[in-house]
Amino acid sequence: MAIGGFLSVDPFRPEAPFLRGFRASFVRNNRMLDVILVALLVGLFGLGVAYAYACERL
Amino acid sequence: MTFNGILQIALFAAIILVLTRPLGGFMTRVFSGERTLIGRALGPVERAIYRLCGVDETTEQHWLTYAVALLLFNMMGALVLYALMRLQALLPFNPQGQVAVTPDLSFNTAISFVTNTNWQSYGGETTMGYLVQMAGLTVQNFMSAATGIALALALVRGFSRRGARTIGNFWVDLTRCTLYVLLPACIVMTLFFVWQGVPQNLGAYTEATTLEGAKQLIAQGPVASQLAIKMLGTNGGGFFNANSAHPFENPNALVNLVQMVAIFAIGAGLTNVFGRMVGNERQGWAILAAMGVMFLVGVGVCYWAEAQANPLLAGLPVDQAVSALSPGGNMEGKEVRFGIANTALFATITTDASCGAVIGWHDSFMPLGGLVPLVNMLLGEVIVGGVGAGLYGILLMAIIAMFVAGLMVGRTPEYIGKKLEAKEVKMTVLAILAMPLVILLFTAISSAIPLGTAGVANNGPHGFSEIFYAYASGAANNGSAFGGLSANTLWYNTTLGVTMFVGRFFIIIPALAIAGALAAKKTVPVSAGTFPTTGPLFVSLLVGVILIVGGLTYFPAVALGPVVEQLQMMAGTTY
Repeated sequence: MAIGGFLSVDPFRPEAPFLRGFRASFVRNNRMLDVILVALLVGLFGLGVAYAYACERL
Repeated sequence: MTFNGILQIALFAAIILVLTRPLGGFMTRVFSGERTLIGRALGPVERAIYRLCGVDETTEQHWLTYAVALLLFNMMGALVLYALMRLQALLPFNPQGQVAVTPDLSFNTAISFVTNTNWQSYGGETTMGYLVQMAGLTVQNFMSAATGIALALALVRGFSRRGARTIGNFWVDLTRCTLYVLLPACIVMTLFFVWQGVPQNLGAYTEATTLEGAKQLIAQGPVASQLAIKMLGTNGGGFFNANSAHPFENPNALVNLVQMVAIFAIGAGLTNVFGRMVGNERQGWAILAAMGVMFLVGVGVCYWAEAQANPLLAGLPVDQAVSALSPGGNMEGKEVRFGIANTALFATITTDASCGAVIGWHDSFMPLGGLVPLVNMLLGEVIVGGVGAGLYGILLMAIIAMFVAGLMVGRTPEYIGKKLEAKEVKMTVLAILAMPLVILLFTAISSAIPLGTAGVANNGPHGFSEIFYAYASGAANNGSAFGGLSANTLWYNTTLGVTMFVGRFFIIIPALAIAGALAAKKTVPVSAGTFPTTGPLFVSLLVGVILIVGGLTYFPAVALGPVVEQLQMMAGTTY
């Protein structure tokens, strides 16, 4: 189930691949949700490491 | 307000004052590697852990190495916790047969417990099996608390060292903090809680038959062991959905007092550690004084607001006056066993520290009463704060205060003998901006889109407060819920997860960078132009800077929530 009207789109309007992917990622029973969220989790910590290196250079 | 209520608040403050110095002395000896009684008993365990993990305790780390070790350790903790929740249906110690936690809730909860937030978009007794509670959530309660303390120590070393390239060893700090401070204290507290009636077992829930003949499931489990670290580590995540308002999680007034003291004890003691490590205990007392002033004002306002009669109930047959038979004031949302004073005190303590445990329903407070917990979090939880987090948070504010003082007199600012230059100020500003960035951004978006407003139980300013409070609680790593917000949705689980992460690590990283920069500096000798940082002038400046920074950042949002609601209530409208 897509969440609310925020991501609803006009069914007659072709959807951009990026938006299709984005919408799919925001579906709670998406089979890929585990992969997406674990990737987000690891990505956040990766961002933290990059931020630390940026702080060292600043 | 009653004399009895004020006396209870004064008793709590006195206990914390008495505990601060002995706790600070003990922790200083532990973290400095000095000999202690407990060190002799647990020393072999410590050395065995280092051998097992391949840690050389004599090698120290550059701040960047320290930061990367901290991040990777926490990432592994989050991944293990995520896996435990997703696989819990297949794992043992699950007598109730709890099913797998949904991916987004697992994501939210993993970040929540790793960041010491313990925001819970779930009810513990209906969602988590015992293995997840013990090996997942409770372990992270220890690790996140130790991480916070380790970071505070690293920052203090930055002030106390001269011309050094290193700020300590993350693995050693983490191990010593867990082994010598948190674990022994929690074992004692757990035994005390069990003695007082808190359950500690691995059995299935008990089915009871009520007097009316209905069936009722009595939830229980390994509660006491989680309760101890929940309070001492300022984690706050409840075993039960009702948190410390549940009689099994807070059976009597004595346990309630011990829980409140436990929330503040280590944070207050760390101010003394700071004073001792920089060579002047008065520096620590000055920091504690600034915290104390803000705490007393907060609890005073909250208690006063809740002790007032609700004007909207004035025409109804509701007794709101203090008498032998009535506590008076606004009793809605209060822990009725402990009364208004204790509920207001608990709400203030839990949001001053980054605990988040609750015995009352902040959503049901009067608008001004509910404003106090919200403001406590928005100020960055620097009023004692989370274990470690409070100390490094207020030291960042002290850097800003000294920077402002330096600007006033046209002199390079100094603090604890260290010149504060561009690097430190830039890092401090980055750290301070992290929280408002995520709080205001996500509150604004969630207030405007159906994904956000769908979860709100009330209209108008009260509904806005519910959203604002949730993101403030996440970013401040507090974890308490205002209430009234259905947060177990994909939108709130993911955005609150990101909020908690930014609120934790995007402050920790610049703080470590400051520690590294300060440690490398030489100490400036005290001169006639040095601003004294142990007196009332410094305390006033520090409190002023904290309030001004917080006010300038959040006043518009606060005005849209509790302030408007208070004015509307006085005009006869409620939400």
